[in-house]
Amino acid sequence: MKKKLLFAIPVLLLLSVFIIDKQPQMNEFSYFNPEAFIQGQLKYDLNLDNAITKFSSHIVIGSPERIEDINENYAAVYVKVKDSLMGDLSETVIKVRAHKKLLDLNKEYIMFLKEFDSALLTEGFYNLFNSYVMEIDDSESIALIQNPVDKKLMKPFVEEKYNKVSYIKEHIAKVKNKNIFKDKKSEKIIESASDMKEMIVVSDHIIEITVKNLELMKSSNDNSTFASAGFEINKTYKGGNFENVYRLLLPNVVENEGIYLVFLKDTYDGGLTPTARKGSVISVNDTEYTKAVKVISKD
Amino acid sequence: MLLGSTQTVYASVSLNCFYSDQNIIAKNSGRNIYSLLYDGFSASDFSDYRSNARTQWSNAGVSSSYVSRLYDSNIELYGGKESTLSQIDADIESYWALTINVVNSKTGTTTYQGKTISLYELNRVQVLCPTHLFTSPNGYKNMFTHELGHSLGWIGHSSDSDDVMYGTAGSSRNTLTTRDKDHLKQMY
Repeated sequence: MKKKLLFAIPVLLLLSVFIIDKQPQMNEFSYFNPEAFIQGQLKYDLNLDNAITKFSSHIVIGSPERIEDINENYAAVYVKVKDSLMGDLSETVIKVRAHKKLLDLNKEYIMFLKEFDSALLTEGFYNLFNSYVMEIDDSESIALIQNPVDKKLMKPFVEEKYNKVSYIKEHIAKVKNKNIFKDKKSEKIIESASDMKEMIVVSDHIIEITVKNLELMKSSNDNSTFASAGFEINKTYKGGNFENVYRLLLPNVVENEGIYLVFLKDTYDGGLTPTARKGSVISVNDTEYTKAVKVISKD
Repeated sequence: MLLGSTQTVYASVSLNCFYSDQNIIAKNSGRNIYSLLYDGFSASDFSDYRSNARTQWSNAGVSSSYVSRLYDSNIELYGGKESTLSQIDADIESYWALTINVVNSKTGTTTYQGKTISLYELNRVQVLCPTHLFTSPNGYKNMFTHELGHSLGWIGHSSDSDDVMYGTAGSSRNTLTTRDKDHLKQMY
């Protein structure tokens, strides 16, 4: 009984909104499962239209066919796509990162997804907007998942006029042209450049660094380990005009006090990322190092 | 006082007040903060926001320490650009700030005004504070203090907009209210 009471805590907190510092309206969202409390301040109001236009790059109807835990909080869910409602999707099975315990095998869901990839990952994934997941029942009715632990559903769906799959599909088709990601090119991560010349062209910054105060960190994205590296710049070959950059996130191949040639790209908000999944970090002890420096110096 | 069977230890906590919208409150016995600034903030601003947050909670009776190694910590506080912090947790792309409390154990329950309140011990916490949110330092101070509050066991949110632990971001209040403090210090 006590357990039931605990897990009957509402997941969605729709609180009053106000604007300070000319910020958009914001909601606080808390998500609880028995192993983790995830609490955050959502960027936009939690409603259907924002889920379609602001929190997602893709929307699918799909069914989990395999679930693998990533850590205490997250799982990698391999979803068989039945219908793609927004965003280009060529795959029939996609990798979705979701909060643990939220999705069940073989059930059907409408999933609001944001494409995510990074040179630090072995492969990209679609990040589920966990605050807004709809379960579809046999009669094609939809319900919002309100509590992931006891699978409490908000029934009927808060916006009743979209309470059937066909209705919500119609609505998504109507508003998806307002999606904030629709004109953004999908930035495919380069696996590896074909040669050093290409690596130079596609990189915004090429620097030689000495790694300092190295920390190895686990990513909640895929449970891989990456290097959080303090650094000193020894030489700048390209770009390198950094302001307020204290650490670099690099593949887990670097060592403290090691010297490396590093190829970096700017991100959408002025951050830095390795240029490609492979070949963005070359050790001074590597035979490739001298060759690379030769090509870079010629350019 | 310890109650319960040999398998489960229930700590006895008597609550004199309770201001959260969730029937949960937690304790973080470690409270060792490891913080890393990646990019975006100036080092002095980041240090200022972090120190303000820590001092506020320390004055409320919930002290914490800085540690220099990740290994020794149970609160990880990261500051940086959104795209940088998304490498740690991609969910940050949907949020202004994010705190992930990993639970050690449920330590018991207590009641307050007829409500059953669940008590937890936290294991480790990750706090992600991105740079792009506020234009004023006080907005950031509020954000850091609010998120540190979660990491120390203040689970859920206050419904009073004067409180730092109020549920909506964007307030420029950077000092804890009596309600903020009284709620959490009962666990310590």
